Amino acid sequence: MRDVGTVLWKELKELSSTDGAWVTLTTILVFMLFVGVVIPWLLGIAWLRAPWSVIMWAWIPFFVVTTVTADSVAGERERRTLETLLATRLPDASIVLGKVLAAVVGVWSVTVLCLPLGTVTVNMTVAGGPHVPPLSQVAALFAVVLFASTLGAALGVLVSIRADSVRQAQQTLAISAIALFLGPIVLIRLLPERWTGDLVAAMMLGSPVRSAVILAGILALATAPLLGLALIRFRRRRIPLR
Amino acid sequence: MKRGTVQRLVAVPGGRDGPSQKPGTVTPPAIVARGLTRDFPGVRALDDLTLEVPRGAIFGFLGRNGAGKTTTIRLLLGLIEPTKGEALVLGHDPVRVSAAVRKRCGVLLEHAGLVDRLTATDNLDLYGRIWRMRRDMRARRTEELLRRVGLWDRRDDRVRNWSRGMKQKLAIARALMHRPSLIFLDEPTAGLDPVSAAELREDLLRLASRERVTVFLTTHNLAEAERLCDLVGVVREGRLLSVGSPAEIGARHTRPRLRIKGGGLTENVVELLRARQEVDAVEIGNGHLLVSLAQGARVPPLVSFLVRLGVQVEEVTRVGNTLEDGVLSLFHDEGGTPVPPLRAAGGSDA
Repeated sequence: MRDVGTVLWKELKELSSTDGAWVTLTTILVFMLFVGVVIPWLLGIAWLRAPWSVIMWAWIPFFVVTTVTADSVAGERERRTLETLLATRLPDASIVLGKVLAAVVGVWSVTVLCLPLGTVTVNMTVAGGPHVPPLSQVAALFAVVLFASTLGAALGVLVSIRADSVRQAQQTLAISAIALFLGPIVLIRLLPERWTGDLVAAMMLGSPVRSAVILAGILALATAPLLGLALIRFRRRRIPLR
Repeated sequence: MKRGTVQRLVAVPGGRDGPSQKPGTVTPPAIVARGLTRDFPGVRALDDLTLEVPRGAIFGFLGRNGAGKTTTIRLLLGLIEPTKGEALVLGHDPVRVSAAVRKRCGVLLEHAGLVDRLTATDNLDLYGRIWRMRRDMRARRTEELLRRVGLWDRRDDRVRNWSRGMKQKLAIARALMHRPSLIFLDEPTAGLDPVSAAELREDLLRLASRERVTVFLTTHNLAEAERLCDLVGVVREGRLLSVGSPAEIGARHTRPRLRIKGGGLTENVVELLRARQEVDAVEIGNGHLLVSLAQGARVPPLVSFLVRLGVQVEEVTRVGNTLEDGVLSLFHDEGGTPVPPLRAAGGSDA
């Protein structure tokens, strides 16, 4: 764990370094403005109550975290720091977990801050308040964000290991994120009509808590093998060096 | 400037790697390679490398670009696996227990590998953390090393805008941060201007001497190798051609030369000298002759011959052949010089 902490320290230190800090801070503020103010303002009470809104809590952190982790290995390779890092005593797993954790910590904490911000926005724009999500919904959404971030981070590291450049990794991950978003929509259309009807009814009328719990479970199930695969694929002797 | 003879360095009693050894016992070599070979698709990068590097020595691995120098470092650090052969680095097999090897080694690879966005202090602190040094130890060591390489006043600068020379100095400090027993330096002065390169060499010598660390240095700068190294190995197209001290390499792979001063060194004498089997070439200098001898030629019969011709021999001196002479001779020998059994231990081929 101490080695994971060291890699985490390095990644966060790099993010918060003087010139990186402005870029990071601006990105965070734009993100929070979009996710915590614009979207809740556009969706109104559905942002809090609609079961389908949980998809947004998965997709947004997933997409953001993949852009961060695209740099994780390919970026080190481009900056010529990877080989020196690999020549240290750090175990392979600690490097992977430290990079995944750094991305997850960053994206998860910023995303969950959007929940109180969005709640305030909804209460300011929708009459008949106060509109406050129950604690169970908050906890379930936090779990959704956590697993979606971890899934995205594991996928990001996995792609970044073999990518020739950060740009190539970002392109691959952007396609993956879009496929992950459009895939279920295509899949739903292929299902028998009766099932589709039930599913749409559940998504439109069901409990947001139940939807969040189910989604968190699905994401957790997908995360475990992907993270395992990233750990297996990150082997010093197999990583291309320049 | 060198730290002493190889023989003295090989048999260092005690020291960091052998505190439990009895005085007088011979320390095992820092690096042992036996038949180390590495193939990449379509090319053999390293071919049957057999080598021993004694502890405490500065070992120079000389070769052109693409000769297999970086591949050797990667193999010894366990960053890639050999196609065949084996190695021991500080007594550990880099294939089976590569973590144990890396734990005791410091590196400055082809690129400085510094985190550009971080300050000099943070860069050293990061590697102190990686090597699990305590906070107070990290702070002390960071100050000590930055002062030694003259970067203490720039400790809070981010290294992004630093010159290559400053980055290389910091990278050497980083390599020594955890007091390793062995450091690998891959062309540390490449791309530096002559002044920066000289400064870096001085820093390197001072630090290596003070830290009593074994240095495995790759370079294609022969003057640098001659100045820094106790031992050198010459590699061409993945094959190790020769190992020895710079003087030995110079002497072994070039024809011995004599400078003969005296009276009566006429054209006729020169012609008669050139006709002799033991003489390869004769150059006429200002009041002297420079005679290149054939391999195995003896000097006394040649001097007797000159005396018989009526030459008043005043002085006969062997002209030292430099490392550069030896290495260039090896590189230009396209047919391939027969490779003697290669052992660096003790500073001579076995």
